[in-house]
Amino acid sequence: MSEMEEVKVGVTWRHIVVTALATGVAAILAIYAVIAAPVAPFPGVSGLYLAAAIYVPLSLWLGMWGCLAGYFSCVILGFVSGFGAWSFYWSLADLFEGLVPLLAFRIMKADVDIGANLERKNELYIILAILVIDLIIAAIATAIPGLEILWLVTLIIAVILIIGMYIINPSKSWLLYVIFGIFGAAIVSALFGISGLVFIGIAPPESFWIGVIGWFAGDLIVLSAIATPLMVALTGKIKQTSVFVENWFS
Amino acid sequence: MTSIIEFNNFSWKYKASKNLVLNSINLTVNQGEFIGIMGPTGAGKSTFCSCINGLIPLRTRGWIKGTVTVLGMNTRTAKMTDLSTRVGLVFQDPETQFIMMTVEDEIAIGLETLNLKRSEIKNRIEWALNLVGLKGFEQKSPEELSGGQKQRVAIASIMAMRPEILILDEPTSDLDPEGKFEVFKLLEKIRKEFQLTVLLVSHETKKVLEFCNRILLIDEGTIVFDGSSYQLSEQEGLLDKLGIFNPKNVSEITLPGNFKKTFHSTLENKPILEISNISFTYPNLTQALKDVSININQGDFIAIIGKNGSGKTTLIKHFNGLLKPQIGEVRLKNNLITDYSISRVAQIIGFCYQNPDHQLFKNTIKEEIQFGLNNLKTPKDEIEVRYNEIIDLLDLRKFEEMYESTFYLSKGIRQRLALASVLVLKPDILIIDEPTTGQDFLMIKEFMNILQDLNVKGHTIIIVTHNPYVIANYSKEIIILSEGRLVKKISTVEFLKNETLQKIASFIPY
Amino acid sequence: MISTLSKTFFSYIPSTNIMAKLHPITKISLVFVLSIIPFIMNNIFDILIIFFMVIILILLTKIPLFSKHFKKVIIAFLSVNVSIFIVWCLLSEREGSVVFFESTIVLIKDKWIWHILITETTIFYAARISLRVIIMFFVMLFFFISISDRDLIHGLRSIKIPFAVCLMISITFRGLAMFQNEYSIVKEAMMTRGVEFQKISIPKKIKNFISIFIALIVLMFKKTEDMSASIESRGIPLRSEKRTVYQSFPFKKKDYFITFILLSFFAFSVYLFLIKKSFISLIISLFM
Repeated sequence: MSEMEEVKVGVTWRHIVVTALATGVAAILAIYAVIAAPVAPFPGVSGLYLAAAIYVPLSLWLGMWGCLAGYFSCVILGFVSGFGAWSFYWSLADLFEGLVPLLAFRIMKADVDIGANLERKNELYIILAILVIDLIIAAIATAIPGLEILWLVTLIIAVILIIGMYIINPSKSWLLYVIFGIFGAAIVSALFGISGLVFIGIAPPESFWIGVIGWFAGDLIVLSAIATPLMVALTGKIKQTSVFVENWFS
Repeated sequence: MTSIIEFNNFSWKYKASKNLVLNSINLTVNQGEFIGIMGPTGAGKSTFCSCINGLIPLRTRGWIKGTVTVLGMNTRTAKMTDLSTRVGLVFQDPETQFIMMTVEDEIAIGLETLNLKRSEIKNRIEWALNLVGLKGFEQKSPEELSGGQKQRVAIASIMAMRPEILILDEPTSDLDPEGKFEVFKLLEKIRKEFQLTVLLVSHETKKVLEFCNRILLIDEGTIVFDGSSYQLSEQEGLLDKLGIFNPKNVSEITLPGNFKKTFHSTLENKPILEISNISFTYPNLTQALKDVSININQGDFIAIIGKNGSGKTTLIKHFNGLLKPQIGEVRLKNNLITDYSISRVAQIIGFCYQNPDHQLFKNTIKEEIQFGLNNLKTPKDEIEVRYNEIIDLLDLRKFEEMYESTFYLSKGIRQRLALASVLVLKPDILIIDEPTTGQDFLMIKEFMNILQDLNVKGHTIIIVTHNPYVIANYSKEIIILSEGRLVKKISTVEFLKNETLQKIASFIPY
Repeated sequence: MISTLSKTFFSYIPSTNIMAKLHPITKISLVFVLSIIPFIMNNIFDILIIFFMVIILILLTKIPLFSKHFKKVIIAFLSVNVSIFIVWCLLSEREGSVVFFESTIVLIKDKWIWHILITETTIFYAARISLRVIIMFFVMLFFFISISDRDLIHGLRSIKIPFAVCLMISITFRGLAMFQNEYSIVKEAMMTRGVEFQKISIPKKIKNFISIFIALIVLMFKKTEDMSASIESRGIPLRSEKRTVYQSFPFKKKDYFITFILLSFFAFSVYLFLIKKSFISLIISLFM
């Protein structure tokens, strides 16, 4: 082995192809998700929005290519829902959904394999579930004036739960994933997505907070219930493939 | 004779592999040779091919030692474009080689890279389509083409670039007999008309021995044999040792194999599956089945054969209720299949798909096998018992220990795992759709022996297959379909004597 | 386009009429302009003019609007539209002279009060947004029906979009077709292992989806390897470099003409938006 030379390659057609195919997969899943559980009055927003669960793992596995796949699949979904040219603007919400955790992991130089050396999986998932409920209540408290005390309480609980998770499973990766991959991704895409709809004029401005809370809650649930098991199960294997991206593009 | 490919003490290891995939390969290939490459799955044949056109190491991460020189270029330092425009490589899967929307565009994209004039590109497209027998197909989209046709388009797009070396990596493994026939006929033509150097990787031993003037046998990353087909025939047992099909066993095809003691059913006179006059038309108005009636008894081992598009897959999906006929009825154990719930059917009829990737949903072997049992709400201790039974029956325990994830298993083992996860539900009937595609002979034999043992224990086996070895050696009866109609249900012994029926079914013995 | 997206959604319908002879880029510009303009216009009559223009466009493409599968699509869309209308009525509060309905619902005492006020202005605003969304929907329908995926790719190449991008789009179309097929096979395979898909609880739906995800992702990575090997093996470089373009899609006079009209129209609408006037008022003042 010592006489062997390591061969590294940069960006290849593999990355283009995987972006294209990931776009295809995400688009198919998104379209079926919207059909299975649509949420009026926001066309293109599914109550479950299951495909959102794929954007965060894709961006952590494929870097910027994964973010682009999320973006383009959302554009396709937008076209099919009848959004026209506005899809290009509105889909940025899904670009950010993948970008936020990617930025966090790259800046903090953390390993994306959250499943490596994962300790006490069951307890972690339970804490995660409680955290999700807590954050949803916090979001509601943010939207309604006069509930400041509730907001404070939920925030304190959230911090305690996160510290608790770190104590059970002292992993920088897991922490970053929960804070940025679940919470960060959900809040940024919810804020951007709903403000986009309001800006375009499809949603009434008065519905802003309801929309944000709904989108945020949906994303939180989907990211914690679906994206997390996917990340835990598959990241280790995908790291072994030639297409796994360690930096931004290769 | 000029040497155009030279491997000099070449070794390669992929980024993720534990061991060397190619180990100290030394080889010289001269211009004009037609080389056949055979070996068991995982031997390194595809890796070997990728080293010649530059995919390795120019586009793949890993560890390298030694050199490969092709047409005077060192593959470590050459430009990918220079190499791959002169070395054509045709792959196994006709589906993933088609990236554009029409045949014409597909052939054109490679030619555009050569910076030819438009008129020249047009001429070459016509020439290439003529060569592969697809004249007039320029505007067809990939969805309109069969596997064999797509594979011929792939060959056309490579040949249009006028390569000096042509490599074909298992070009017929994913095709039906007709497709295989078309491709080999084309190869014969290419061999006669062009002065190409050709390397052919294939499991079709007889064809390889027929076509090639030099044979390489690769096993575990090393070349274990390099000589002529005559020299190979003198090395008794080498093919058998490597698990490669030996055409000397051709007599096994013309006579039925020795069937083990057959199971005597308690339901001897009552069929377990009754198909009565079913007709089925797809939503796109293709009529796939026309007035088909069949009875299947417990303990049967039936092969369903027929040309592509004859309705085989449509028929088996009626057996387990995945499709419902517009006319006629299907009865399972005397009751209408529509009276059964999805979970009840899953306990009586097990269904294995052609591609195991379509039916593996979990990360570990244990989770996968228990998946079905969990869906059927089987009690926990029962799950444990059945799990241990199956994993030992199908010899999967050692893989469970070696690999933490199903992701890493080879295709043959994934297929066995798919069978295990279906079998654990203890179905009476097992339906297997094309289990031999892309498998080497050893794996086919192992898999079929497992099925044969199950049949002796009382399971009814229904298998859709093209493979003549399987048909002749394992199935007791044959159902022949043609254009949606049942042609005949006949015993294997009779079928092997009847050339007319064999022709209708596209049955080509080795 | 979308012969690859799905036969259940929208299918490309080839035609030999005036629409077919336009360059794909012209059709794309039509789609862009017509889907953005209604949102710049504030006057409902202006928007109605655009609506009629779009209807004419649809009629020109000869879409079988009353066929079975289009009916389903249109009904689904209309129900979404109706709910948009209702939400606007219920949530936006616009003062007006005629009050149709007013109500105050207290959700949380002193903290969260829902005030419903439906006046003629509310209805007007809701109608306006519904109309905008309807226009967008028909414009997208036009887009899918009148541009084939192949034309889209060659159209983009003709305006010098990098080849890698065009090929990526082509592979996305192939991917959509492939994965739609894979999705149904995987779903079927799960049914043969006893998984129910109808009438199940949400946690079960989520569990099913995870299994489908895993199977599709594994398939995706395998296909990536095969496809990229095939592209590399044909010597196609990643960066454009100099390469012949085999298919030529020249712009014709009518393409330039239509694009010019469109862009002028767009620019004029933006101008009107900035000076806060409407088309209708301009037309009326012309006749007065």
